[in-house]
Amino acid sequence: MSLTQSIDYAAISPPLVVVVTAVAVLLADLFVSAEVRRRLLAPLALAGTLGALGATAWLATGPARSTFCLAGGGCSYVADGFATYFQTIVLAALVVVLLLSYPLFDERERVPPGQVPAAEFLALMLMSVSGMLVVAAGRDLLTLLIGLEVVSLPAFVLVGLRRGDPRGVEAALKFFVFSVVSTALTIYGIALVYGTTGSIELHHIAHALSTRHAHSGAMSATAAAGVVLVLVGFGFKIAAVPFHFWAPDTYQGAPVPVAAFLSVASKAAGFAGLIVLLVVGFRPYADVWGPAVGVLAAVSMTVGNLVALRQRNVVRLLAWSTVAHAGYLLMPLAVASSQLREGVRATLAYLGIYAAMNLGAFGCAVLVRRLHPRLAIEDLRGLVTRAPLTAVAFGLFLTALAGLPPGVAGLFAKVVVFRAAVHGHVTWLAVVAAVNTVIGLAYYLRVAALMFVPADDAPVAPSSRTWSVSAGVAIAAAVTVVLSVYPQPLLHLASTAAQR
Amino acid sequence: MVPILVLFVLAAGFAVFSVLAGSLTGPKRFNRAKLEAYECGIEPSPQAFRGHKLPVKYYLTAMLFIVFDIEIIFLYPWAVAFDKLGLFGLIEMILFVVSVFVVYAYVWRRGGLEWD
Amino acid sequence: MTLADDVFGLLGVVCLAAAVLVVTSRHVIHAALWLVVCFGALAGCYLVLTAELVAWVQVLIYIGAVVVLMLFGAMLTRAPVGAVQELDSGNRPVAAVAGVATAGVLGTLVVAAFRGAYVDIHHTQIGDGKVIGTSLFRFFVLPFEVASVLLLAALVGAIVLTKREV
Repeated sequence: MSLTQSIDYAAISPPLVVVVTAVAVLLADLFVSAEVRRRLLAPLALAGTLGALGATAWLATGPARSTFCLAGGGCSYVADGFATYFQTIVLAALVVVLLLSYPLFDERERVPPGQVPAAEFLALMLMSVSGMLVVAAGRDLLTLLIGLEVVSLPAFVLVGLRRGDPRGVEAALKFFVFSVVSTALTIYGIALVYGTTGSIELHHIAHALSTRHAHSGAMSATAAAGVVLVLVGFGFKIAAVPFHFWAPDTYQGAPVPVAAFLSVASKAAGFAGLIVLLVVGFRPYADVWGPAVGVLAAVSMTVGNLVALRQRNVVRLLAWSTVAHAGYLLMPLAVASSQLREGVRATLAYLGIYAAMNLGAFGCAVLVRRLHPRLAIEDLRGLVTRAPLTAVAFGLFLTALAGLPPGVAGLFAKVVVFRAAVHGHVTWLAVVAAVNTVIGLAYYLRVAALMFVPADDAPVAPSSRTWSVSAGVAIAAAVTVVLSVYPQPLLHLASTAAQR
Repeated sequence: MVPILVLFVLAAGFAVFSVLAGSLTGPKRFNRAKLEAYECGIEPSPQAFRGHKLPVKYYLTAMLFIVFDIEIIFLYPWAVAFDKLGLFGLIEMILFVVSVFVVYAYVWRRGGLEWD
Repeated sequence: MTLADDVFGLLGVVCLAAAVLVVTSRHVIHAALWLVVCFGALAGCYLVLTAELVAWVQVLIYIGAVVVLMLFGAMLTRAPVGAVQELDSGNRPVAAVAGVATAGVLGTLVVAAFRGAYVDIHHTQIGDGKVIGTSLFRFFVLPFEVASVLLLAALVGAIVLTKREV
């Protein structure tokens, strides 16, 4: 038995590149003159992200690679189709978020609450992403846990990074407290699962759990409690009701690009960990977690949509809408065990489309914020005459989130998850989701319609400093349009990723 | 096990005895200085404490200490098992120490080691 | 019942009692000191179970760093030395019910599941530095290296949130 693990550096290249970029950004900020710094840091972070994206694409074309393998079988890190699918989503989302956040550290920026320290912002965001990349490929409880911590810890700071902004402090504090409590529960759950199975490696856990499950009794009940507690931490990460309380306040208090980052990249990482745990590790307990996930899904979409109806602020509306979307994303995972693969495929496809349309919607919020710093929904009235392109793009993303033409991509996404739910014999959940889709139409369309009310304002010339934000929104819009016309490649990728 | 237990009992007994003996036999003369938080040394500074909040720089010190404390605690099991781990262990530990060294460089350049 | 069982049970009672005092005490300093007792008793429990390294981590990190720095911060500034009413909130009964219920359920489960689980502390070496060192580099290299990113992020965050002139 070998005393040490072998490392395949090619397999871990995406997180490695991201971490090295983060360190390079920090060190460059410390030892380079201010003038060089201003020009260098953001492009450096973007280049690193694109490099990691290239490495991921290269890994996706090759065979699955496993590394950090345990002496007794099983590996800590597996770069298979599933991992590269999530890594691609996270890295692509990071590209858009970096573009959206560029004005945050522009020294000429005068829109309150002003700039944030560039190097720290970029480095923390890259570190958080490295955690997400590890979570997507992690295949044991310890790696998943530490990865999740690396996702969360920089995120607290990113939320509270704006100085002298009490809302930001409140947002960060709520986020922190909720995160710490849910992590504590998760760690307790991991201890129970480890205690009852004797392993932290997911395949071993699945094997041990299936024997535990066969004999009911205290041991089986303890394992079930462990499974449920582990899920709490991931429920927090994806902001599913009832672990969602932090989300609206945190999204509203954070800089808008950070809210976009949390609602897409962080949620994707949470789903990556959740799916791998449920499908690989806790599969024998599907009769325990299946109904629990179904209830979470139903409650998340209902609460998210109903509360979104009453919102008056654009970011809060989007925040509650992401809570509702966590419900749609969870729905296919609640299916019967035999249909689970199709369910996973549906969640993956939905997540890809959700990433594009939700990033786009938050990007539009960044653009609108420059005209209306309060971001009240009422401010959007007649936006089409002031900022026609922004209004059109925002309209596209909102209809896509609602699942209506012209945002057909969102419709495809809804169809995929509905089909998975019906095939998987959770028709009741599909009915709940259908009702919720109708509720969702009400608020998405109300906002979209408000923008196209004619007003007699003159068009506002876009500021030269928003080109990067516009580029980010344009990327999201282009992806949404392409997915509306030709979603097959994404669906194909999702089914390859679900074949494991 | 038994020697440790005996040691515990002896230590506890000595502590209780010292405290009791001191309070029973010693003279008791009170003055204002004895009611201060510290009879000697630096007086607590009144301006540092506002509205039940600790100044944030204490937390920075705490974070610094904890981060490097954790680094050290990882060095210990590595060091005692070093003969079995060989070059691989050395390389991994160097990677770990280097990333924590980046922290050190960062803190130093940002003035985190200065007490205003 | 062996001597080890007795010591373990005694330390467990001390730990639990100290923990209750931490949350019920109205003196900040007292709460911190009771926390030291609680952590110390827990370290003793680990030691009885021959988990040497975990015990030292408990002492060095939790008592040595976390609690002592709390005390350090509280004593160098004019911390509230007397009783502070604000340490209690109106949520006390709800919190008590939630805490007792959770502890009851999980405690019952764990006791029922692991009632017969015994570790032969005389013939195993599960927790000393050497064993943990080798298993760290045999099984957990990835989490170990990722943890260094966590430490990096923690300090960058601490600096950026506390230093005014970054």
